[in-house]
Formats: sequence, structure tokens, C-alpha cells
Amino acid sequence: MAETEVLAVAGSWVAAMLRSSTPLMLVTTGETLTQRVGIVNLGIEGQMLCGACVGFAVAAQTGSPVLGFAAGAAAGLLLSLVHVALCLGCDANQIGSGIAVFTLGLGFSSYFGRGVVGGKVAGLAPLAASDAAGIPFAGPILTQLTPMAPFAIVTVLIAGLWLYRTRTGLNWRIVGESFQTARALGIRPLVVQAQGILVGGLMSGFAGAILSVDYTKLGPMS
Amino acid sequence: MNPSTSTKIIAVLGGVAAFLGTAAIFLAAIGRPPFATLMQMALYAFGDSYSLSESLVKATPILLCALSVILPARLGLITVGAEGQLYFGALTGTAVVVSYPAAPMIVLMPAMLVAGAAGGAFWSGVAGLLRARSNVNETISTLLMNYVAVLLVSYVIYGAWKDPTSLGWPATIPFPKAATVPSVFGTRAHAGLVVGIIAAVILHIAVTYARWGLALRVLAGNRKVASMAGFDFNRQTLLVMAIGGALAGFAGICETSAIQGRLQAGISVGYGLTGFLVAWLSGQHFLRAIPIAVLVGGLIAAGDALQLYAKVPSASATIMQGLLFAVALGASGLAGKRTTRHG
Amino acid sequence: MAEPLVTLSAIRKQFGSVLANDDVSLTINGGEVLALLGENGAGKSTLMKILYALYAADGGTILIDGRPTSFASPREAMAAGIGMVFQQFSLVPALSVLENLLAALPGAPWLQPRRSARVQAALRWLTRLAPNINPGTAVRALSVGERQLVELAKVLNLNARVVILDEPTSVLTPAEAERLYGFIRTLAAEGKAVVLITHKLADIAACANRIIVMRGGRIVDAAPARERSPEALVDAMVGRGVVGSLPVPAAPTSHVPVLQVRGLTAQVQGPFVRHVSFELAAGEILGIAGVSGNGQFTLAETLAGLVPASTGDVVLDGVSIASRAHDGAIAGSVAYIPERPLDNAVVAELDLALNLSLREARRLPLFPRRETIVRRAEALMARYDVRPPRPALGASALSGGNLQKLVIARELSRKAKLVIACYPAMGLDVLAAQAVYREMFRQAADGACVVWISEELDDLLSYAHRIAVMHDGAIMGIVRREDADRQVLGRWMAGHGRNAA
Repeated sequence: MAETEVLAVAGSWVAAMLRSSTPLMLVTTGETLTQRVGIVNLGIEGQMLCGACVGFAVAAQTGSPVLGFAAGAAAGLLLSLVHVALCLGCDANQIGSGIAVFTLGLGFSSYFGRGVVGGKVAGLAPLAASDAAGIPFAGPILTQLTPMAPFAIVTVLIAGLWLYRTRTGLNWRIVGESFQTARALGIRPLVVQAQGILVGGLMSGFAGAILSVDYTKLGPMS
Repeated sequence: MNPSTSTKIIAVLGGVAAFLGTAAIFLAAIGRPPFATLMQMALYAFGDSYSLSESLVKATPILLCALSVILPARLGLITVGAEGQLYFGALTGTAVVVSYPAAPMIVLMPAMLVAGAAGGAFWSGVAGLLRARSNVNETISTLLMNYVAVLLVSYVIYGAWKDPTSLGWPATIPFPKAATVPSVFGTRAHAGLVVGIIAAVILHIAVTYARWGLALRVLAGNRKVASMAGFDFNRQTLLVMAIGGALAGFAGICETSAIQGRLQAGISVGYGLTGFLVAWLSGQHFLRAIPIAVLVGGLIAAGDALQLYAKVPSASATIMQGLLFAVALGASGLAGKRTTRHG
Repeated sequence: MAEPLVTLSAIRKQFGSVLANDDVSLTINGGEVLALLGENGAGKSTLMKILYALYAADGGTILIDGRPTSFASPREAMAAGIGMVFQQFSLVPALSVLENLLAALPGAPWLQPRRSARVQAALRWLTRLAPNINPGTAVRALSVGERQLVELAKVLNLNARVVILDEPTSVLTPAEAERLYGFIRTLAAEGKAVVLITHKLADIAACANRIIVMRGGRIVDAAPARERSPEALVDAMVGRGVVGSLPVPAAPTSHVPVLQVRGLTAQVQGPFVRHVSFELAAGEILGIAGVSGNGQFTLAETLAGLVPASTGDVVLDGVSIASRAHDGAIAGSVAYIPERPLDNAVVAELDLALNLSLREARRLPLFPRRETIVRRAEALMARYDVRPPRPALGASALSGGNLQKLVIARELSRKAKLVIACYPAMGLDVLAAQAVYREMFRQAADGACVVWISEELDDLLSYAHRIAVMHDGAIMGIVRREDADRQVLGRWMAGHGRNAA
């Protein structure tokens, strides 16, 4: 193959990789933060589904993909509140609670998603206009990716920096390592754990919305 | 510490009330008269012999899947893989039928059932082996293996076993009469219901009164001390996972054979997940799982009927299952908290 | 006389049916070392944890600098200048030393780049106490003595005026303890108040200015240190004349080795045993000393067959028993009494009858008969004075002493050839500890080989026939009781070999 073709294929491959991993990066970062405070949330798939459903509906209704993302994130956050209430409020088993959240998310998105299928949304504009497609290697990447891809990467980096180089990040890690030690140090572990779960919910909802609004533009998948 | 009986009763009653309350709120939110709809659902579930039959149809695989969760739970293992084991059992059982469709019933039926159970046992056993040898968390491994099993079934029904005469709809050949599990009690429910009930009784007796049950309790309580008593965690892990998987796999092949008539997509509408829910609701108790499975089966059947007659999407049943589970978890968690409250 | 920094008045604290603190009043003054002396369970830790706001008192008042105060959380206590170094350290093992210090540093910046001056300020006391520790290492890689120094640095970073140390020397070698005593005296000289919670008279002798003795939740004696002799202190701690010492076990009659441990190596996710070898005759008691965490627990578990040996062998009466806990015949001749019975020797969720039957569990019939199990349990509980003697009670309902008696009833009721006791008296009061020792020595008198791992060097020096010291998973040396020298043993515990300077 000619060199330009190789570069084009490589560029397309990288573009595809980044596009499909963007929502994964966000939802993984969210659950990682949740787990670093010592909570396992198996309901993230349900949260993503809700985010996808609500995000798509709002984006189709308002014509703004950004509003769709925000709505999806809010939906994920709300659903994760159930996990907070059960695990922290009622001392329920984390695995069971996660499965309950998953079931609810599955149910809600199947139920309400029906009415939304078939709608159309405009996704975000790609990073570069289509006449940049000719640039070797970077062309396909810039024309196929939206700002969400670099956003996701930056989010991961910021999350890492935050977790390891700030006082609140240190507190979160301590809560995750030892609930009792955190208490002895004057940290409020339950508050931190609630924050961790909610952040995870926010990010999984956001990731779900990206999946339906930005990635497929086709509507929620039940 | 164990909650006292009065706390437990309050928890159950409170839980039931909370469930009905949240379900009513949900129904009102979607524009349905809450209590009238709930009454209607109760009738759709158990109102007449037809409804009862439909509820039992749903309850059968749910019961078997619930048992497949309860047994490992007695050892302290949390498995969510009933769905995958169900699918894989359906796969292996169907393999027998597809390979020897003309065999006589006396050979084909037992071979199919054994293959189904063995398939489920294998699928669950893999997760058990990973836990025993490499301490891989069985919740994660069984959860992920669910997806693999479902995709494997898709693979064969689109590919090697696709019936050329079923135009456009991917499925295997219809099962011959010799491979169709009979129904029982004059309902549409298949003989798996009987097997499930018998299995629940046998497992209950074994785990409560036999030495094996003591081994499970000791291993679940303290593994070091259990080795002082001579009990082997690895062996018991494989055993309980395999038996549980066998029950779920058996459910899978029976559903395929009796209800679906062929292996196709959608042999299970989340029975594995529902089985997990029923197992938890029954407090990991074999006998209590029977009535609870029937109740939850009724809930799902009512959901189907609502979709048919009242145009309410059947996903409402999934939502209500989620509500039921969340409420049950909350109630039992609070009951435990009240007991351990200290100064 | 300057005003006391802290005044506790009529403190009362109840846990369920146990009155941990009963109308306790004391003062803490700057520039002095106050020793809170008492046996395990006397209430000393509880009292200080109330001051530190980990527990809330049920009654009584606290005055700080003469003003009534009530802290809602340890953070407020720390802000008021009260710091506590715990027995179970409140360090996070997975994080680095610097991160642990930063976590507790008041006024720590939000953004924490490693080179900034404010972050480096967290190391101020650490460099003074332990200049050899690299702040980037994870705490779990440090020795227990080093961890204690980090914990102390953490407390001092708070500009604490009151430093409370909870049983600090129980995990130190004699040399490390000496170093700590030096630091304590220096802190007092600099004007801080140091409260030393301990049950060891050596600590008192080294640095206490004033002593308060607690027993059963109450203060039974308070005096300046120079006015009390060790005997008077022991009397106050355990009550007058209640405790005599046990008869010293007779020397073994024959020297034919019954237990042979050869080149034993084992590993459990970290803690390990390296090429351990020794031999015991029938009726011989081998005491194993050493700072906790140097492989003693792993050695006990390997001898008991619970941990597989990677190399080497354990031969009991001609039969190899390594890695064979499951074997019924062997289970009958080996008895294992571990520390902390609730975690290591019983199943907390099961009742006492079932726990007592565990050693025979595999030989029970397929459908065991409850009455048989209960009758056996009742007989054992009566013989070994386990209270309350109710077989249907859950194991978690028993006190530590009674639980250990239950374990002994299970393990020692048959004639054993090998008795492994690993910190068997930890957490028990003197009477309960003596009951445990009595049983062990009785088995020895009947011809069993006894491997006795203990943190109390004094007990080993009083009763064991030979004493070995473990360090870093290996046996540094074995001496006969008559030839034992504390200095040498102390050096072995610190890892200096037989011929080191």
C-alpha cells in the first residue's frame, strides 16, 4: 500500500478507537473514583442506560447536544442516589444494591426509551471541518472525533491529578483504604462515600448520553 | 448479630408497605390509577386458572435460578451468573437434540436434560474454579460470563444451527416431540417446576441437617478454622457452583424445549436476574424461595398482561422488580442496623 | 503549681453490660509523664479514647485549660492539642509515609505538589525522630517500630500539648523501647504532657513521673512514681494477694526428640518463615520470643498444618505432619491455640456446641444428632469452667477469657502430642492467662511437646525449658532457660546475629 493509504488507515483506526473508548473512559473513571472510596457499584450499566435515554430525549427535544449531555449526567446522578440511600442509609449489601440499581436503570430506560426511538439528534461538530480530511494520519482523527474525545482524556488526567495531589483526593483514598482510620483523622467517611457514588453516577450518565447523542446519533439501545 | 423476630416482622411488613407505596407512586407518575392497576395486576397474576398457569410458567425458571444463587450463597459466594448458565445449558441441551433429532424419547429426553444441566454446571464451574484457584471474585466473573453465554447462543442460532426453513428468524429446528418436556398440573408450566420444588426440599434438608450443611456454614464463617475441622474450601466451592449451575442450565434447556420449542433469541427474559432477586428476598432460604418465586412470577406475568390489554409497556414489571428489590434491601439493611446500634 | 492542662471529672462509660469507666477523675499536667497502669480491660484505653473524642462519655466532664469542653470528633481534640498514638496504628498501610503525615497535618494545603515547602513541612518531626525513613515508602513496608515513630511524628505535627501513648512498647525490641523512653523524657522536658498507657512495669521505671493505677474501671491508686515499689504496683493492678505464680514445669525426663522441624519454609502473602529447624523432646516446652510480625503467627499456622510448607518438614513421632491439617489421624494429635480466638479459633456465627465439635466434624455421621453434640459440649464446658455454660449461645457472646477456655476445652481435652500456642494469653486478664498456662503445662507434664509463642519475655523466662528468638522469619538462636541472657535475647530480637558486635 502507498504510504498515504497506510497513514489514512492508521488514522481511521485511531479515530475509531478514540470514539468508542470515549464513553468507556468516562464511566471507568467514575466507577474508579467510587471504588477508591470503598464502594462497589454494579449498577453503572443501568446508570449509563438511563443517561443514554434521557440524554437522547433532551437532545432531540431541545436540539442541543450539550443539554443532552447535562440531562444524561443528571439522570445517572439521580439513579445513583438509590445506591447512596441503600448502601449508606440502610447499610444494605453493596452487590445487591448495585443489582437493584441496574434493574431499575434497565427498566426505566426500556420503559421510557420506547417513545424516544427514531428521533434524530445533531451531534457535536467534529474537531475539524471536512476539508481537513486530507491531512495524513491526523486528518481522519480530526474530522471524525468531536471535542468529547479530548475531553475524556483530559478528564482522566485531571481525575488522577486530583486523586493523588490534592488534600480532598488524599482524604478520598484514606476513606477507601480504612473507614475507621478516616474517622479517627476527622474525615467524614459517609459524606465522602456519598460523594464518590454520586460522582460515579454523574459520569456514567454522562457517558451514556455521549453514547447515544454523540456516538451513534440513532437513539437509545434497549 | 441477628435481628430479633419482631424486628424481622416489622422489616417484612414495612418492606411490603414501602413496595406497594413506591409502586403506586410509579404508576401514578405514568398516568395510571395506582391502586386500581395494582389490583388489576393481582388478578392478572392469580385471578383465574389461566393467569395462574402463566404465573407458574414464569415462576419455574425463576425458582430454579433462585436455587442456583442460594446454594453458593450458603458458602458465602455471591453469584449473578444464573442467566448465563441458563443460556449455556440451553445451548448444550440443544446440541444433543440438533445432533440426534430422530432418537427415541427414552434416549433423547434424558440425554438432552443431562446435557443441559451439565452445560450449566460447567459454565458455573468455570467461575468456581477461578475463585478456588486464583481467588477471582465470583460476582464479577459470573456477571461477565453471562454476556458470553448469550452471545454464544446467538452465534449458533445465526450460524451452524440455523434452521433454513425458518425464514429470516434465526432459530434452530423445532424440537421433536421426543425432546419436549411435558407440562404439569394441567397448566402450561413444564415439569421443571416439579424438579425445582423437589430440589428446594432436598437442598434444604441437606444444608440444614446434614454434615455437608455444617461444612458449608463453617467454611462461610471462618475459612482458617474450617481447615482445622478438615473442610476444604476449594472442593466445596466447585461443588456448590456446579450444582447451582446445573439447576440453572436445567432451567435453560427446559424453557427451550417446553416453552419455546426451539433454541432462539429471548429464551429468558431476565430470569437469571429475577432469580437473584428472589434468592435475596427469600433470605437465601431454599423453601421460602418457592412461594416468593411464584409471587414474582405473578408480577412478571401481570406485566405481560398489562402490556397486552392495557398498553402499559411490560418494562413496568422490570421497574417494579427493581423497586421490590431496592425496598427489600433497604428494609433488611435497616433491620440489621437497628440491632447493631451501639453507643 | 501550674494549672492542669486537662481535668477529667467523674467520667462514666458503659458498653452494654460492661462498665468500662466508673466515676474516674484525674488531671494531666504539662511537663510531666503520667503513667496509666492497669491490666487488660481495666479501662485505661477507654478513658483516653473518651478524651480523644472517639467515644462519648455517658457521664462526667472534661476541662481543657480549666474550661469545660466537649469535643464532637477527634479532629476537634487534635485542634485543641491532644494527640493519641494508638496500639493499632491509625496509619493507612497502602499510602506513603508523607501522605499519612499530610493527612493529619493541620493547615495542609489543598494542592499538594511534592516539592512545595508547605508539603515538606509535614516532615519536620519525622526527620528529628527517624531520619532514616524515606517519606516516599509505603507504610506497609516499614517495621512496626518505624511505624510507631511515624505515628508519633504525626501526632507531634499537630503541635500537641498532650501526647497519649497507648501500650507503645508492646511491639518494640528492647533497644527500640529505650529509644522511645528517651523521646518521652525529652517531650516532657520540652513542656508537653505525656500520658503513657501501659501494663508493663519496665515502662514505668524508665520514664514515669506520676502513676495512676486502674482496675475494673476505677482508679485504685495514684501517687508519684518514686513512692511506689513494683510489688505495690502489681498488688494494686491485680488486687491484693489474688495471684501467685504457677509452679515451674519440670524438665523433660528423656531427651529423645519427638518433634523434629527441619528447614521449614512457608509463606502467606507476605509474612513468612525461613529455614526454621528445631527439635523437642516429650514434655519439653519451647518458648518463642520476638517482636510480633516476624513470622511467629505463620510458624504457628505451618506447624498446625494450616499453611502449606514450601520446603522442609515437620515430623511428629515419626510421622510427617506438614500441610496435613485435613488428615483426621493427625488432627487428633495436634492442638492449636491461637491468639484472638474469636477471629482465629472459632466460627463466630456458630453456637458453642458446634464450635466444640469442630475437631471431630469430619467424623460426624452424615446426619449428625444434635443431642449428642450438645451433651458433649456440656461435659466439656463443665470440665473447663467455660462461662456461661450454655451450648446454644453464639460464640461471639463469650468474653475473651471464656472463649480461650472454650478453645482449650476443644483442643486439649484429648491427649495431644504437640501443642502449639500462639500468643494464647493476649488480651486476657491475669487469672484467665494463668488458666491457659496451667493447661499447657499440664499437657507438657503428660508428655506433649509444647511450642509456645509469646510476647511476654518474662513469662517465657519463668516457665519455658528453652527459649528461641525469631526475627525476619528465621530463628536467631535457641538457649536453655538457665543460660538465657536478656541482653543477648534483645539483640537477637533486633536482628543482630549470635556473633555480631
